[in-house]
Amino acid sequence: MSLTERIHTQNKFLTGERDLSTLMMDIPGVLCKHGCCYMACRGLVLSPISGILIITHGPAGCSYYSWGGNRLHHRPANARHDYYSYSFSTNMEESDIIFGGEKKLQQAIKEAVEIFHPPVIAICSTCPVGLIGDDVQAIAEAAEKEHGIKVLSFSCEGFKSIPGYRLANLGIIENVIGTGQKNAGKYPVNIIGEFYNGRRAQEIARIFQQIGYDIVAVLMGDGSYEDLQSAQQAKLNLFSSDKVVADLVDVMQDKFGTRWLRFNFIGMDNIINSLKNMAGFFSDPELLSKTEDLIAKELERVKDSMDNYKLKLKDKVAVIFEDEFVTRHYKALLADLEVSPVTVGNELLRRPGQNEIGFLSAIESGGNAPAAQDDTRYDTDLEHYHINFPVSLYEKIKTKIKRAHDHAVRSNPALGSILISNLSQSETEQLLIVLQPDIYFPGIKEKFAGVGAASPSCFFNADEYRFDYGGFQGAVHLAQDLLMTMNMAVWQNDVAPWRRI
Amino acid sequence: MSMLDLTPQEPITRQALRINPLAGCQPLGAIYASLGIHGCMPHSHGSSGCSRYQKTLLQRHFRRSFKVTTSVLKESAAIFGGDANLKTAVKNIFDLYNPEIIAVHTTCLSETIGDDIKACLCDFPLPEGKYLIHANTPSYAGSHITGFASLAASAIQYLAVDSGSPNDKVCILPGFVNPGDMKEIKRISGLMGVHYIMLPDTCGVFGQRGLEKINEYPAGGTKVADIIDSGNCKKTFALGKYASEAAAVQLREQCGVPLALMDLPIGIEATDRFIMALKQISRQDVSYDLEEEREQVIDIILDAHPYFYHKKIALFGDPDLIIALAEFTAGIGMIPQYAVSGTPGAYFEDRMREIFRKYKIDGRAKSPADLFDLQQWLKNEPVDLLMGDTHGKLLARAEDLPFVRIGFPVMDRHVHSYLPVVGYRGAIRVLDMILNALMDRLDRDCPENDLVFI
Repeated sequence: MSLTERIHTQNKFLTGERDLSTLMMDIPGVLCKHGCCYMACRGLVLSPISGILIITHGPAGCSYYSWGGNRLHHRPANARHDYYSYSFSTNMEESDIIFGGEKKLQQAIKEAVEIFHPPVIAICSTCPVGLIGDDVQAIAEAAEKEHGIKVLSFSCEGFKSIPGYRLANLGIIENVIGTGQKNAGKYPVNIIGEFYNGRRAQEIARIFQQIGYDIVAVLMGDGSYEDLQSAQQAKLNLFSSDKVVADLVDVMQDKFGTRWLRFNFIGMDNIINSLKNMAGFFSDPELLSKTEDLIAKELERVKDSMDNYKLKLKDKVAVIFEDEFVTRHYKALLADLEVSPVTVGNELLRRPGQNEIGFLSAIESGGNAPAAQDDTRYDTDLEHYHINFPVSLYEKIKTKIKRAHDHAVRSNPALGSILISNLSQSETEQLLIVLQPDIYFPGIKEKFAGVGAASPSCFFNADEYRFDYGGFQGAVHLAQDLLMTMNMAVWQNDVAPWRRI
Repeated sequence: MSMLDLTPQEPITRQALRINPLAGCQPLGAIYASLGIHGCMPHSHGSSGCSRYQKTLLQRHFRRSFKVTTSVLKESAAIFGGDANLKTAVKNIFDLYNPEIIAVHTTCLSETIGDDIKACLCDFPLPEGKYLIHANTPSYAGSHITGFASLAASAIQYLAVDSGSPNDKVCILPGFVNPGDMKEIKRISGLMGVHYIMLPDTCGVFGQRGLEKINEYPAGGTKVADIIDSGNCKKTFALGKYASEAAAVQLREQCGVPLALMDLPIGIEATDRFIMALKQISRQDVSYDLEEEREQVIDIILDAHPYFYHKKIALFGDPDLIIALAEFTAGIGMIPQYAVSGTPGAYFEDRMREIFRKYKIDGRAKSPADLFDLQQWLKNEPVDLLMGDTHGKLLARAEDLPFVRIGFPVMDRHVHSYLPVVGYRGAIRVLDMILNALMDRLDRDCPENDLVFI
């Protein structure tokens, strides 16, 4: 099937089918790594809030998969309300699908209250519930009265197009925030952004404490229900996310007047800028000088190890496969280590539809996208790639590149890079073989693992490994992991002697 | 307070609330079974989250990546049905990824909508030489074991043909076990001189590096031609009732292949039975290798029995595995005190009662049960050892028990999927794990002057 044919077929069903969805990659049959509304609602937002007993209303499967994946450090004040090691569901069976699951949900809430005495229960609905039409909201309201506790309900059925984090966050803003009056301190801030890993929240807390900020509440990080009740007391929302759309903080600004700032805790420049912006927001000279002091102190603290690692990583070639989520993090961290990466990405297809935020990063880093228009969205062209080289590296290898093909080679002096576009998969692979990368980041989409196998490659995912790459220590942690991966003795032995050339 | 500390000791009967479940849903098993077919793309007819959840879990267990596609059902599908999405998906999969076969499985979403997969795809023009199968795997019934069984049965139903020319092979349905186990079952069959077709076969599916090209598939898996040929087999060995019976019955009904329903060959007796059955087919003497391995198992048991004799075990996990482990451990003088499974079905409790009766054990078995049940039992009468999947690590910490990770999923340890628990070599490995867990605990807890080197 030719490319034009494929664009044509895609557009054909897209125009009819895609009225509600604004997310990319959700083409039936095309590999995607998307989760669903339930997954984001429960996993991204509700699971990291300690002190809530979450009941999954649906078959047991979804509660099974979403159990115990988050490393969380925050504990509720009352340890008897600590449910993170438990997973609850109504375990809907065939008869419940036929006759409705309302009675079972009522009974499940009753049992949860009798056994665990939670102050607040959240009900997350899964796919079948929305289809059979259980009135979960009404059951939640009735249970609230009957048991004298807070019962939140989230209609986050997996097939819903609304992102689950949005649904959950709006529910929290509507029903939770503003119900408490905790004393907030002098420079109160909220942190809103997904970390998946309590370590980053701890590191942020450490730095904020030294400067003098008070963290009122954390949403989508590692926080607690009691704190969230008083989140309106904060003067500033720090918004740190790659996926979540900023309208969430806008809603909070409208409702509570809380202003917001973008905040990025990965990469030195990002952290320093974020901290300075915060001090600027409160425009207090003392805060500003404390911020400057802290930055100087933290930089001093990591200087020796950074210098050491920079030396060790000098002239290393890193290849990153671009995706919407982690590429920018790697780029920022590698910049701290003075390693300039080669990035490989899919070309973009242009088609009618609405554009969306997460994808802008791909355009940003790829550089091959036409200017965005309101009625145009971009999708990945799985068959064509572009490669972005640092100029110095390109000069070194350009004689080795076969120029049989006629591709646009463009230089971008501002970024100090060379872009080769519209490459086929095999041409891209050949280029990568010439490059002989020292380290390869397959990215979330795991493309080119075939080529990656020829060179040390690793999918670094902070929430499953030892370290978090956030904070001033982030680049040090990444450098340690990079060197560990590159220097593993197994790379001397990964090819059997009878297969060595 | 620490983890799982909120579980009360006094027994509680629950009617609705499932706490700390023991089993995933059907599509999980269906994906695993699909991966055991060579050149197969598992396709999840549901919302995008389904395949993501199940893929993540399987990837964590096997520590390797693989492909799964999804119909990405959205609101429109909930209203108008998912047919259009499925047709588009199937077309896109063949166009983009060029698999030899697509294995479609349903989810609670598409089953509740009521999509009829067969009707939807009956007029779909399959590309030349390509295949498509489907299994109904609603998440609101059964468990991942049921889904595994359903997909294997549907592969037989769609593909197996009795062409009238016997192939002198047996069809081995290995059950929901690791690639390491399947490899061992194949090795034993080979040593016994039995030619076989194994379905599904996940050897060589997860073990390889660097096979992520867009339309390439791993070398392993049961070839479609072999599944078609399974109709010509002279016998089916269905290992594990829950995971393998459905496919074996399907093959009998469809192609007249007689079946032998057996336990998973874990431990001495179950392996003995498996080898005797193979011996009947090939009429060969048992090979020296197997005799030697069996002798080694017996020697180890005799040497080590003071350490495990009359030690109580709590077993949890998939029913076929737990039944086999209970028989094995009871047969060497341990006491499988508790046995719980998350997969529904009366056979589990019946069979466990039989084992309890045979070995005069006052044990408890429950299915479907959850880990909350087991924890309550443990609080009232503790045991010496906990055996089951990764989810037991919380329980092991909370109740301070030595813990052996076995079964599916084991997400927090490496290596396990490469090594067998079946056969005599598997029995040696299980003994190794049990003894190490018990003796590490002994070394941790004994008085210092008892801590000697022997």
